[in-house]
Amino acid sequence: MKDESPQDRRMRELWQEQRTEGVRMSVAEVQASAGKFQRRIKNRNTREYVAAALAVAFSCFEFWRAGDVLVRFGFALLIAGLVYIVWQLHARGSSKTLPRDAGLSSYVAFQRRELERQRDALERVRRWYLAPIVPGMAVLLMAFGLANPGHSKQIWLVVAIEALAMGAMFFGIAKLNDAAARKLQDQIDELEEGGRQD
Amino acid sequence: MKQIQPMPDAENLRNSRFEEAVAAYGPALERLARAYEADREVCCDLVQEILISLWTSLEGFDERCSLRTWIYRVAHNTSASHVTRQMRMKRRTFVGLEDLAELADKWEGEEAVGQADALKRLYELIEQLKPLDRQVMLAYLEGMDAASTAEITGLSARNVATKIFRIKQVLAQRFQERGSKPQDHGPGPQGREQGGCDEG
Repeated sequence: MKDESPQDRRMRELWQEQRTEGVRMSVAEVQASAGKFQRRIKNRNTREYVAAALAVAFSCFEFWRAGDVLVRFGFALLIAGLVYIVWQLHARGSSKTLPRDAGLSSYVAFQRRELERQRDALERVRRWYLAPIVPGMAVLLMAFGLANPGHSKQIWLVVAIEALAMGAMFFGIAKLNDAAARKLQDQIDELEEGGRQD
Repeated sequence: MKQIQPMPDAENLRNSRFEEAVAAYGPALERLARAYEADREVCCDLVQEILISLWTSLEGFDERCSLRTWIYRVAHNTSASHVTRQMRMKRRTFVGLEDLAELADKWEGEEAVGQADALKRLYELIEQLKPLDRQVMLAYLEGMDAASTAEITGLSARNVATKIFRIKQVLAQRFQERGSKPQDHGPGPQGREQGGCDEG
């Protein structure tokens, strides 16, 4: 380099002359590894779908078994919510895929896009992951209260506690996601700040 | 009669570019991965991840930039994503170049003995940096100019120049008084010198 000082040269030599072991990966090996990686993603997606299918199957069984109209209605809503979640998981491509565009974008652009994608997914969690199962759960809790003979106050107390516990859990999940989304936003701001500094 | 050679198809072109990249930039990619990941086993995985990303991405290489810029972009983007994942898992924090000079030097007053020691200290310094500043530091150490670094990182050339100025200040502060470059060409820094990555 033109304006290289002895100190610059020394540091670069120190860095560039360090011993390396040699990257050993042929095209055949990298193709095999890429295939293995894609299969892993496919298996992970399959596991998610199987888990969702089991939950839907259980709900369908309960729907079929239930005699009470309200319970049936609750399970129908739950099934609809679960199907919606599976569809969203599929549409959003939740699992990581190989970055085909990693060479097209600079670090700042690539990283900002990645962080924004993750932030948006977290921010929307309550809408596509939590909200769809709330109506079904609420109706089922209501059905549980109404199904008990006498409709005693204790039963409604249990229903209220369960509803509160569920609400608290959903609220906690939403808040955790919000906090994680805020952290990602901080990283995006920092990235933009770093790109602007002159 | 002279036989016409068939044009290499897209797949052959991708494979030959990949082989060219590994042959020309293999050692630089290895150094880059070491600077992003101290753990030897994980570092080997990172090298493998970079190579897979590179091979996958070369399908879309359209020569709008040089192959070198493309390779470094892929390597830095893959490595930085790795660091971000690790940062979340291990709750690690990093500092910017502007804050690095303020940080206490644990080797204050101690001279580096030999190349391995100096390299170890250099790696320790790099590992404290935020991914973006780390990229500029690595590009500087690999001998890239400000324009190439800007193309890879997405920073303005002026911003890169400012960061390189800070890098030089920090390196001078930490290394200048510790004598010239050691003569021996010993192994890399501790924890990174034993064995290569078995890709097989």
